[in-house]
Amino acid sequence: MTPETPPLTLLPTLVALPALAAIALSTPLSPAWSRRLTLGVMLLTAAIAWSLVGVDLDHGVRLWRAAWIPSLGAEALLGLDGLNLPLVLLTASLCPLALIASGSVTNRVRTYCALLLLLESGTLAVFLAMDFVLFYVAWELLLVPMYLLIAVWGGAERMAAAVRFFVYTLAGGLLLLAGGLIAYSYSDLTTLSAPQLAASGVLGPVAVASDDPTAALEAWTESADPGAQRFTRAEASAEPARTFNLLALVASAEQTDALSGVGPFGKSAEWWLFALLLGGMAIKLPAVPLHTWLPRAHVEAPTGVSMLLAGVLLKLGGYALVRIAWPLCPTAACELAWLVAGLGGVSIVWGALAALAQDDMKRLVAYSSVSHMGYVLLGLAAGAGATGSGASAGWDADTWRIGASGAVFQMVAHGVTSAGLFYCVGLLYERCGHRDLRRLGGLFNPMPLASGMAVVLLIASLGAPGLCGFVGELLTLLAAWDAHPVAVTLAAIGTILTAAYILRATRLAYFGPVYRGDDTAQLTPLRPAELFVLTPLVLAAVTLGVRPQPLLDTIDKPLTASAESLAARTGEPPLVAAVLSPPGSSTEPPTDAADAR
Amino acid sequence: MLPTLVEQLATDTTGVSLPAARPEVALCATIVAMLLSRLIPGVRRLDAFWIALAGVVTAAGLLVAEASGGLAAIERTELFTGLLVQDPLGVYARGLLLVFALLFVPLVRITGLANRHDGQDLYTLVLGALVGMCLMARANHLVTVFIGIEMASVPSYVLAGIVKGRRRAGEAALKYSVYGAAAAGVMLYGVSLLAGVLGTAHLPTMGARAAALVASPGADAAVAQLTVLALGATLLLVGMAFKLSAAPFHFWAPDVFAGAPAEIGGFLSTASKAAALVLMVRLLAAAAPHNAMLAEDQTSSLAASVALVSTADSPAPSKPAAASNAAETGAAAATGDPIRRFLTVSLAMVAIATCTLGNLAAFGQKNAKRLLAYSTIAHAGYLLMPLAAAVRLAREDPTAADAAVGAMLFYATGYLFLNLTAFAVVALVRNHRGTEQLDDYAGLGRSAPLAAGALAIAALGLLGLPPLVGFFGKFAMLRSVVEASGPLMTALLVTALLNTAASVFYYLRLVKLAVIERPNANSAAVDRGPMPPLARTWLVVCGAPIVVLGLFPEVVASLASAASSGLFR
Repeated sequence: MTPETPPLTLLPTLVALPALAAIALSTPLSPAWSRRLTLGVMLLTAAIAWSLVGVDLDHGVRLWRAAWIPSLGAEALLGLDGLNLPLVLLTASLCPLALIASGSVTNRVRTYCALLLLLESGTLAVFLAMDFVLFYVAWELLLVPMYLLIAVWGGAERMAAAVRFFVYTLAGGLLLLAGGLIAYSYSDLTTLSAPQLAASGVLGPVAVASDDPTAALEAWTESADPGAQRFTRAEASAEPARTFNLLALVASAEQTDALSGVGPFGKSAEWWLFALLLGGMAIKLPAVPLHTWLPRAHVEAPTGVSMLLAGVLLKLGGYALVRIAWPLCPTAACELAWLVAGLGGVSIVWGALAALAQDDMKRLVAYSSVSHMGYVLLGLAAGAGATGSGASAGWDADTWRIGASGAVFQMVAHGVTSAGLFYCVGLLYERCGHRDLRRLGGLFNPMPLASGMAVVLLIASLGAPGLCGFVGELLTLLAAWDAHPVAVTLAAIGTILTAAYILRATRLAYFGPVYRGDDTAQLTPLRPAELFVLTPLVLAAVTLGVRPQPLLDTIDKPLTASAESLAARTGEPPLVAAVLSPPGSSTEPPTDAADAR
Repeated sequence: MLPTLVEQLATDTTGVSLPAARPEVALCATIVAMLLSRLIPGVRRLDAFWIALAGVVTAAGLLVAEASGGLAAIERTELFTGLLVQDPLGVYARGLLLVFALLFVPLVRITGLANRHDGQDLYTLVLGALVGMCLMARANHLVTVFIGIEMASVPSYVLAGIVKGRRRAGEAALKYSVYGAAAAGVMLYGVSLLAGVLGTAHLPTMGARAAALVASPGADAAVAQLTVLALGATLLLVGMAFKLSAAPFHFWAPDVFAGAPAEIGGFLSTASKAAALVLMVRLLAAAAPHNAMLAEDQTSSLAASVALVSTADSPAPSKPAAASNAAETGAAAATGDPIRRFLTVSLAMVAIATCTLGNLAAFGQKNAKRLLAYSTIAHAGYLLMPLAAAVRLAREDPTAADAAVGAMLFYATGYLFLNLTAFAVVALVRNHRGTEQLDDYAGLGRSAPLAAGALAIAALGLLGLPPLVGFFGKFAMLRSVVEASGPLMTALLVTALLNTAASVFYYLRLVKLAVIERPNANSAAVDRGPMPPLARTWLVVCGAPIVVLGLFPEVVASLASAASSGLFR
């Protein structure tokens, strides 16, 4: 019996709702009502997103599809699987918090709300898009709202920071575009079998888990779908039927070895494709040395925007790597795994060292983001066989799966902690008027609740067991140890430095006998709205640390499929890594890499 | 004999050709009406604007009636004994030109360039140039190619200097006409070489003869003729490059754009360029040896070789025939190459140079019109890229080659709205603030929010950010380029992306100045009251397609692909 996979109409609702609300804000509403409307829509979006948790994802990706630009081969294809579900939840939940956190924004409130809504819509669209064109459009859609949010509502140096953000991100986007177009030019739907076509959603959402893909294929080719007509024409004339469908692109790359042919400068097309995607995403992630836009953008951005930038936007790069780069070019990824791991290790140490040197607390948190995102790269590089010997021996399925789930977990965990920390910094800034660690201190006495929660988030960010930062770091370090001992050693040094700068910040800001600033009267306790923002973040940090299993289970299925495909295509039979426990039991802290901490 | 010929000519003209040229006839009638209206006492006081508007609306209505069955339903027919051709591309291109006219005629009225007294001069020149552009868009014969270009160019020279008594405008007009005349001379020389070698000036026949010449096995005479052909084509391309402001013949553009009124800059950079690009497509579709011609050629030479083989080796004719078939195809593929390769390489090189030069030169500009002039040059480069891809694809994948032309049409359509909006804002700000210096644009967002918003959207669209129409044009263009594959196309892709990244700086500067920055305290520019409501309405009308067509790109994409289908088959 065919499992039911009807089109998931909640997905377009999720993307369209904030955008429609943004359009509705073009009417002259008062600031207060703009805020209320925006908050209502954001909460509704969050509710819809959380209702997706119940969706049955066991039979592959759940899709929704509509015609968009058939003349250019692009369609509006949204999909949900275990990989993007956590990130969608993170985005939808953080947005209302970020709005509440923007209480201090008083000028042009309506525009500010509209831009936040556009940002939410674009981010959700990036996570849900299963068509490259849609993915790219949503990706670039984030650019202008973010630019304006920094440039209009930012701090003193906002202009330079906004321009830098814009230029870096656009450059990264163009690399992504080049990569997508290259992948497109090598794709060919006619090489795919009927089950593959069905599973990648080419035949429509309903056919994804069909028992009889051949019949579904026939029904599709006879339909009036422009894609189907192009497919039949291509089959008849033996021309390639190219596609922008991300899943079909991957399936097509699995099927043909067109990408591995020799390209410019003696490297294969796959190598170039991977290099382009990695370059683009390393900017967005950000990885050292392409991270310089991030601290400036964060320091200048208002609190709410910083929360979204760190909590959600930094995840786009990592998500694109897991979704597109690795499945599309496993061989090149394996060949360049040393570079990925190296970038990861260097980012961890560099970010931590830079954070250690900061007196501005917001800048410190910003650099800690750079450091934490390094784990994503490290986790994705895990399981690459025989680096250094030139000819790589391929991916190890189990190790890569563990590393990648660690990377995805780290993205979610960092989304929670960094958003929370930026909010805590914002709270201090509102009360003290500065963020200089040297002039803070003793905040625990006047603001016990706020300080307590901030310390929980700081410790979670440090990666202490029992809080969310620990799981991702541990999984990535464990998985990456075999293939990249040097990078893991760097990362281990990084964890020590992390402890150093987090404890320094904690000590300087929250502990100590007295507040060293001027006016202690301003250090008021938390208001209910502020508590409403902080509580869910702290709870999430604790819950994810104590019970990481539900999240790991969710992301496990798509990652297992990717891991098997990676291992199969790079020619190494999947080995069971004896040392490593399956992700189920990995919260127990044994083994050598953990000792390095 | 002669009477039948005359009779045929008459029936062809009145029965087929003229009905298919109703919009042009309407435009010509409007010009005459505008010129004569001054002689009739009662009508003398009527503003020429209304006559021009009525004429353009009528022409647009007639064109819509012509295409009422949809673009795909229009069959290719030759008009006026082969001088013009009626096909979907021609209808689309004229539609684009008339949309331009519908926007441009009110614009010059709103900005005051066409006032009550000499409005009819301006409108006469603009509509006259439009008739020439319509001819360019449907040219099927070297004579109409040249006449069309000249009809479009000569009014443009005058338009560049339309503001009397301004030295800069006069300088612009003089430079433009001198360079233009030189380019026309060069082009005419190329035309005569091509027509002389091929013995005809009818484009499709020329294409067939050139293909035959190339297919003829390596005679010395053929090589010599090919050399002359290449020379002729180069000279013709020089003329086209001048019209398109493509490197290395782009140098007139900044001076002319800076000297001429901004509205005329909008005219030169959108309508004029679109017509030249469509004409370029016509020439390329005739010159790129495509399937039908080669197939014809192959069957004839195949028949000859089969005959040869079967007389020499009668026992097993089937096998050698198959072998010779393969060999023949290979030979045709090899011999079909020189024209195609020549065109692909030259177009790609020109595109790369144009794009890069335009973008790099735009960096240091302080004058809004000069900045937009260099941006225009850069866009000419982007617009040439899909044409290079189309020529490359012409043989292997004619459908993809058509799609590449469709991409160019899509890009040109979006570009029309983008650039016209940008130039219109420059013109309106000139009236509003009395300045064309970029530094004086600071704080525009406060005094004229709509104009500032329109400029920002136009700049972001020209940069190619989604979801504005500029992105989808660029995307369609890049898609065609990667479909054509090969080192040259990779170079095009890399150039386009690097240039987009580089252009961020100056487009973003426009956005920053217009929307975000506070007014410059040292600036001498003073606002002369609020923007007139008509100007704001016009900006909304011209700016809306940038967003709407960006959200629903299929509207234009499907029309453009219908317009370009069948060109290379």
